[in-house]
Amino acid sequence: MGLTIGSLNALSSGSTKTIRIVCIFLFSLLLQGEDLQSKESVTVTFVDPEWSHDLTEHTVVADDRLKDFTQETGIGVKHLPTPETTLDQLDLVRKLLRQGSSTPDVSGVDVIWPGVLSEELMDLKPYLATELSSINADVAASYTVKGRLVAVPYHSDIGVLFYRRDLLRRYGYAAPPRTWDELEQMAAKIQKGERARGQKDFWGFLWPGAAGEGLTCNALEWQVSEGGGRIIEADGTISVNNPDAIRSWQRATHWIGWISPPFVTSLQEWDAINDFYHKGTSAFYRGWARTYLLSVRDIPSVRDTIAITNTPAGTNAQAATLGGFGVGLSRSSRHSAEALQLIRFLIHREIEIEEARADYESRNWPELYDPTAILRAKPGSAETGKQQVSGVVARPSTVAGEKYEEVSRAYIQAVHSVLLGQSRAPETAASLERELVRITGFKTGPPSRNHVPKQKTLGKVSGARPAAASTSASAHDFLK
Amino acid sequence: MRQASTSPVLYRFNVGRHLALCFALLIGIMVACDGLLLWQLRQVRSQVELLKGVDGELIEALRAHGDLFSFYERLSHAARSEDQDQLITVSETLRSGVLDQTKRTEAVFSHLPSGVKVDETVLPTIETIESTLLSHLDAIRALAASGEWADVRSRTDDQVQRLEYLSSQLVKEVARDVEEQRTQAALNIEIVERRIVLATILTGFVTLFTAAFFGWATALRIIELRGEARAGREQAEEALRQAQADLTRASRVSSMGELTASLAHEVNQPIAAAITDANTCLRWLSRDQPDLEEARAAASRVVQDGRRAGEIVNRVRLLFKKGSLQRELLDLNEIIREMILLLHDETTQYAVLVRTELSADLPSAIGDRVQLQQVLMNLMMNSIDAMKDVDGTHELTIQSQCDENGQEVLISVSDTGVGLPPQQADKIFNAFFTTKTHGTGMGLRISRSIIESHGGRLWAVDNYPRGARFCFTLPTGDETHDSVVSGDRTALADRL
Repeated sequence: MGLTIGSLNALSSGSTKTIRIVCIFLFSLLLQGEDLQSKESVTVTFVDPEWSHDLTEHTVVADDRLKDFTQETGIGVKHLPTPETTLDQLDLVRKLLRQGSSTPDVSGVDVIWPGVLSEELMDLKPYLATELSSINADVAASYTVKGRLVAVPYHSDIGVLFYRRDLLRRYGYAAPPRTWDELEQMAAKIQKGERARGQKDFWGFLWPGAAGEGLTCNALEWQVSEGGGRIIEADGTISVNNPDAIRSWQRATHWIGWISPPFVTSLQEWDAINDFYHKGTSAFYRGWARTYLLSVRDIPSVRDTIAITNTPAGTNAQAATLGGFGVGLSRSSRHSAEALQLIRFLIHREIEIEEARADYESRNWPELYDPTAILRAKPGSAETGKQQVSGVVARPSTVAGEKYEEVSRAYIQAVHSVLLGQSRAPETAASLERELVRITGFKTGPPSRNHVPKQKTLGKVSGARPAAASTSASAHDFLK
Repeated sequence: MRQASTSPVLYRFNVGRHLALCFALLIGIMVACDGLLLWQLRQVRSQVELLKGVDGELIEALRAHGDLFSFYERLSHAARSEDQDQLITVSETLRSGVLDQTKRTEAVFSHLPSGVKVDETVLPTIETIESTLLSHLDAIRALAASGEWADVRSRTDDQVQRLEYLSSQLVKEVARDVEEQRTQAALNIEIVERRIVLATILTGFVTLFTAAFFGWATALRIIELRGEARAGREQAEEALRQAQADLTRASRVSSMGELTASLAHEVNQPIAAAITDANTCLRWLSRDQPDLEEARAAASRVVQDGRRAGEIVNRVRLLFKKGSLQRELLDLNEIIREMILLLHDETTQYAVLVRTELSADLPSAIGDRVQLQQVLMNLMMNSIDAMKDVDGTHELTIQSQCDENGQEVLISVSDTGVGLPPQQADKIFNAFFTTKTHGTGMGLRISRSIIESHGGRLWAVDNYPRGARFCFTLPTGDETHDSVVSGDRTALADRL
């Protein structure tokens, strides 16, 4: 077209004018077509593991934040749900990421999956230096694979014990249980009393015992608190086959039918918390701090009757499993710059909210403030006096790396079969040990409980507060 | 239009730069229009593909939604029955159903046309729903196995229903997307339609324009060519006429050159006669008794002789003179006799017997004396030439006669020479055709054109028993000239 108009200049007057008009007309036709292809704003997709976790009927937790983000930046966000259990989430996210499509740009990555998904995710370290400085380095380390930060910590969580304040008061307990023994006694007493009061289907202690990652978290707490080690130690020693671990499993098996219902082995986390919140037929429940924090403001019955405390300690230590997830950026994302913007936004907003919440928590749950505060890096926030040190224990996902899924599945299957009474704990531990050796190629050894220093500060995480209880393990050590 | 052109081809076709540019432009526009049409057709096809793909997407979302409903219905039915076996059977069926659906969904989405703007979240959402259903199935089976029907129901009702919310959201989103894309596609197709109509009109217009332009240019060119051809022909005719006139004159001059001798002889005769007569006159006067009568008679003969010589000289001058034709009434017999006199030497030299059979009442003809003399001289010289090398009697016969109507005079010159070249009787009148070694080949051609310019005809036939016979006709003078003719004839008769 330009050529034609150019050659037109060679012509003079007369018909030139008509031809020029025709040319301009043709040209405008072409332009018209281009105008129609309106510029579409960038939309990043975000696969959010919390989408289906919310129990407050607020279907999508992060929706408001995402709206803010879109308003601020003009970048749209598609918020995608994930299945309920973390193993199913892994299956889905892995499948989506490996499809090589741009969706999702941003994925929630459970703290245990960085090793499995590291190949599909970008290294965020170069882009998020500022944000990382306000995030606990140990937590960030859980998302680091071979020096690459494959996800940045977003929501951190720890295992906690839910309890019915009203029931405890009713049966004369001023404080929640601090050890498994205390829990057993209190659960049995309350159960007996409640059943006597007519609640035939009342059970003392409810926990998610279905064959899922939730079981790993629970059983790890049992083990660690009894000195049974962390399945695979941080140095790569497979320590699962030890008497303390076996004893802890047996203890849990013993609960079933005594203070825990027989169907506890079929309960997913969702079923269990649903039962605990809404049926009101149990006194204690082992769940996640974040579940409580998200629901306490919105569900009046929870606010009124339910409280949380640290998971009970065993003979060795108190242990709470580290949970939560970070956000990672897909390598095949076509909008990585925008996705990074979203990640930054989420992290900043999360830090603000966490700070606000920390204030609230420290006033309302002083005993819990410590475990949740460990997830934050702000040294000043841990200044308040603490009654107790909590041991936060990470699953052996960092050391197992991409093998963790197999490791966890094997562990779940073993513990579940013990719980169901399908196999005896010692034999199961032995065969699990062999299985883990086969999976990882690591050597076997004793658990590392003896190496846990008894007097250690929480370092930069918990500030200058000294460790009080001799039975507690430092979170710093567990997180390594 | 016909300005300096750089291209030799364009020059050959006499196409100027502007005209060429116009054609190039028109052709360019037509090609562009055709391209536009093709492009638009492709657009339509891609829009149709897009609509098909978009529909596929919607159908998949709806199917996922519907499947979720039936999934929920069957599961909750089984959950309410509290029959473990039934639930396990149902969950098996449902599981395989979900797996099939997953495969189908993936297949549909992987085969969507590339133009379809698939909402990137649709497939992951469907996949999420499907994989979540599977994980629910597992959970529910486990719960049912431990007889926790309340939990089974609670999970079925709460969680599966939440998925329904999700899938209905999905359907809504997809439907909205589909609607958007449909609207967009409809808009696109509308625009395409408009473009096609416009392009068609434009193409038609340009075609007409091209045809008109081409026709106009061609017509113009034809007119030009015809004008040029006419100008060329006229020029050629003019040149031919000029050449002919020049040739005529040249031929006349050369013939005159040959005749100079006989003319000198001819002029000499009256002069000699005049001298003789003058001597006679002197003799009559120098007598003692001068006989004045005799002397007057001799002197008047001297005058006659002098006039004759003057006439001869005058005629010669006329022959050499290049001038316009002088049409006058002529006595052809007189001209014939004059020419015989002029060629007297030639005939004597080659022993040619000249015979005349002249019609006494030959009417006068209108023509140019000198030109007709030239024709006669040509024909007679030809005859003499034809007889030069022939044995036997050399006889040159000149006849004159009038046709019955008195309209034409027919003059013929026959000889007993070599005769006409066989089969070429008519070619001898062509220019440069000659049988003589020293001939120019122009004599007969000029003669014929002279006769024809006088309204007559000149042709040749074989003479009997041998030789050739050249005849020409001339129209007689009309009635108005009769008196002149007769007067002239009287004068002529007197003189003879």
